[in-house]
Amino acid sequence: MLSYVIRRLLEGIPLLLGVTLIVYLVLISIPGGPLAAYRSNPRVRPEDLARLEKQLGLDQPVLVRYATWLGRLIQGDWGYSYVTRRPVLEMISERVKNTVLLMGVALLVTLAVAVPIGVYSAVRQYSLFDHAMTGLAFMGYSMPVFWLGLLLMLLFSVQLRWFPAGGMFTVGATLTGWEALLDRLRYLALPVLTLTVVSTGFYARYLRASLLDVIHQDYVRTAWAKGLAERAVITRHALRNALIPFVTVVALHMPQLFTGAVVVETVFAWPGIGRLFWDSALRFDYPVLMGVLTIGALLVWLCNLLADVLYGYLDPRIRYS
Amino acid sequence: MKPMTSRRGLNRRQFLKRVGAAAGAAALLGPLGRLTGYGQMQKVVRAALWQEPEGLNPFFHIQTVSRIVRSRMLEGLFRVAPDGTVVPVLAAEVPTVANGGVSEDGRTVTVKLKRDVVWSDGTPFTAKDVVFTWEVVMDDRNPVASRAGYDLIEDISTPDDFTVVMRFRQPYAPYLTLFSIRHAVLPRHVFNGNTDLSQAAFNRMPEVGTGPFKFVRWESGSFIELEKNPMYRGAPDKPRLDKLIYTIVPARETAIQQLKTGQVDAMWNLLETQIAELQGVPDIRLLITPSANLEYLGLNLSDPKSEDPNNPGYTDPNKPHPILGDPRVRRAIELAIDKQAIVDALFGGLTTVAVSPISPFHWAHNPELKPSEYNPEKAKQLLEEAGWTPGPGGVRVKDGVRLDLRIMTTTGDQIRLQTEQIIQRYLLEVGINLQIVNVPSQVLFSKSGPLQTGDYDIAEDTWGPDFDPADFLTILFHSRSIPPNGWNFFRINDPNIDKHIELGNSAIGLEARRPHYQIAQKLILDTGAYIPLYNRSLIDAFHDHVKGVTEGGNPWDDFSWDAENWDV
Repeated sequence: MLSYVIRRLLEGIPLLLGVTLIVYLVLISIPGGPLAAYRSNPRVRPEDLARLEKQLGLDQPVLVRYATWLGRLIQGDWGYSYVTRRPVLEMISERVKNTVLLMGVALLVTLAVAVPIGVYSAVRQYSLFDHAMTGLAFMGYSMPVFWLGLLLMLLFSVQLRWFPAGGMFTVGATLTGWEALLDRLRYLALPVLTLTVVSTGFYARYLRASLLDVIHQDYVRTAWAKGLAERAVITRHALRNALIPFVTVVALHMPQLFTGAVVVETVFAWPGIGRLFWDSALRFDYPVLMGVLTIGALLVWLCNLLADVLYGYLDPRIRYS
Repeated sequence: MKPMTSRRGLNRRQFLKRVGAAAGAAALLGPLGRLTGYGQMQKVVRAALWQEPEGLNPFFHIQTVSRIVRSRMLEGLFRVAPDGTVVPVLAAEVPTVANGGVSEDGRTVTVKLKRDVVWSDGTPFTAKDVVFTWEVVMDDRNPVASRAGYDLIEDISTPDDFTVVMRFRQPYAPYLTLFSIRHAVLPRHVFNGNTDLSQAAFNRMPEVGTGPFKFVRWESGSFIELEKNPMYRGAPDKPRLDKLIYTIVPARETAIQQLKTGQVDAMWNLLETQIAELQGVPDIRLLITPSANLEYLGLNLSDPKSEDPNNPGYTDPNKPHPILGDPRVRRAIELAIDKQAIVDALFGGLTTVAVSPISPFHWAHNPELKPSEYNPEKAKQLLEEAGWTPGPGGVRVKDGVRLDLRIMTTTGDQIRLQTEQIIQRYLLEVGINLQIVNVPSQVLFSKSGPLQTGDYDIAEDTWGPDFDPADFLTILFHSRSIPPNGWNFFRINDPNIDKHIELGNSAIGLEARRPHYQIAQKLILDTGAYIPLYNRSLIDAFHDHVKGVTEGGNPWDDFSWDAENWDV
């Protein structure tokens, strides 16, 4: 097991290098560039542009710029934003906790809704409930997020006044302890609801399929034959095995806890990584984009490894060597 | 059933439970520690911006929201009043030739400073701060966006603590923009005279200023909080607010909802299409201010298929456009468009037809210019004269070539697309077939984009001058700004226009400069390559409980320019 993990870790190094190089080249090839906004400002003259280009190192060939970036990264220096001139890692770290909060709560709520739905749909396959849930799941899954978010905001914030219309906490209020917690939960409600509506379908359908796979296997029939109650058969025997691939899928989605959700964060003015990435993309802020993308790639790779290891841990039939 | 135990002595269920509980607890409780209070609710105005400032150093950013936020804290020597006159802020008076502030040759400008100004930490403001600011601008380590004008200063001196004398290498007509309007004066003492500000914390937290408000904190992605500056020269009457908080709400649609629910008290920069949603909403009023920006069509005078031997990749300005190269066709296009109908249809009359690149309320505007007439019959006649005769499908032809043209603007702008569609219909009526080919703005304006390379026929864009139109007119209409050297993407090459722009840029005093700019405007319109469509407006919204907002706004400044007068 240990040697497997070490081998996988070593294999990841060229992979990550390749990913960063490709991402860098793709970013550079997008028309515009960090000085695009300056270029159409009449006060910024060609001599000013040349000076700024030199300051940012944009006068260097692309591969030299990449090598410089990589060289600094290896020494632990993630570089400075072209736009704000602040350390990239500082900009990412002040956003990451907000994204983890939003995405973490959304994932927990989604699972809390999706698991029972998935189980019940599988156990009562083709029942009215199953059909209804399938329909709703697809509806949620195919809903445009921006539109759904605004719709929920119009209903719950503007009409009913239950929840605030975006933000992360009440700006200008003094709150501590439980009041602060409650305030935070009120602001979390709508973005979490939006994320839950759009992603519950995916998880519920996955679990349903996975449970249907095992529910017809011999050992489940044996369990029924033993005269066990339905509850015991489903939760102890079937679900346990159905959850193994499901856990893998959840683990593979873990990087989203970091990368966030651009649209939901934008609609609900949530100061997360998704918005940082979007703002940086609009301004061609290569160092920040590279920072977010590299950490994202790193997490995807680690979570894949985690999923594999977890799979082996949860399913004794699988052994890595 | 016997639970299977792991090597670590934890069974799977326990393991999963613990992981779940830990993740939940961390997610919920982690960030709570940072939720600190604001002090008691006081007189607070929360204003939503849909963009986050890049930073707050006046010289490092050209972004409007950066200027909006930092202008409440850092002031310049002068500012522009709503009526378009320059008024002193940190200066005691506006220097002119008449009051001896500007030498006869225009090379020496003397600025007298107010004597009673103190920085928010109590340190007196002096001429040394102005000199320090110039040194910061000229320090090569600093990412200064533009040194225009500053790099013409040969020598800057301070005969006494409240006088600054600037000597220029050559006369610099826009001298009133230095350390002013888009820029400001920096506090020397905060940096102990060290002019390298490239990594200074001040760029994000300008804690010392002379303005009515002072910096409290910036919560990234959420808000920037300012509080009243008790050392402000208007104190204790001004500012009336205890706090001014700019919140960052990236989607305008969300900010509109927040305004309705009272989560914010004001909102910056709505789109024209959003006026309808807020008009008639009780407790909310719109502030519609004319802006110097206007929507216009730019016609390509060069052949899109040609190549300039001196600038490979760019069209040859000396090879005329096969269709638009004929001035009669350009004139016909303008005559065929009913601009008033566009204004009525798209803006419900909330804006006006544009007549010149310099808006009517600008000091350099030429009041003799009138909106072009709508006369499709005359347009048809001109096209006939130019040899374009009616052809199949109502599209004119000449020597077997159809009168096909492309129109281009930025994607994702509903109003612009509608404008294009209306123009398309008008032009088809006179026999011109217009094809709409829009591209993202970063493509349209990029170094290798169609406007720069010259691979377009007609472009729709918005642009307008600053208080000082020198840079704008030069970069858009002077022949030396033909791409790749600027934004004269029409490829207008008229020595007469060049001459009057240059005279306007170098004469000393607004009165002396105005006539030249007025002639230049007339000549630019005569080319027919620049067709003004409609004036753009600045649209902001306020909750009724925000009092003291100046009626009509200030076209030269932002929606919160008078926040020192606001009250709730």
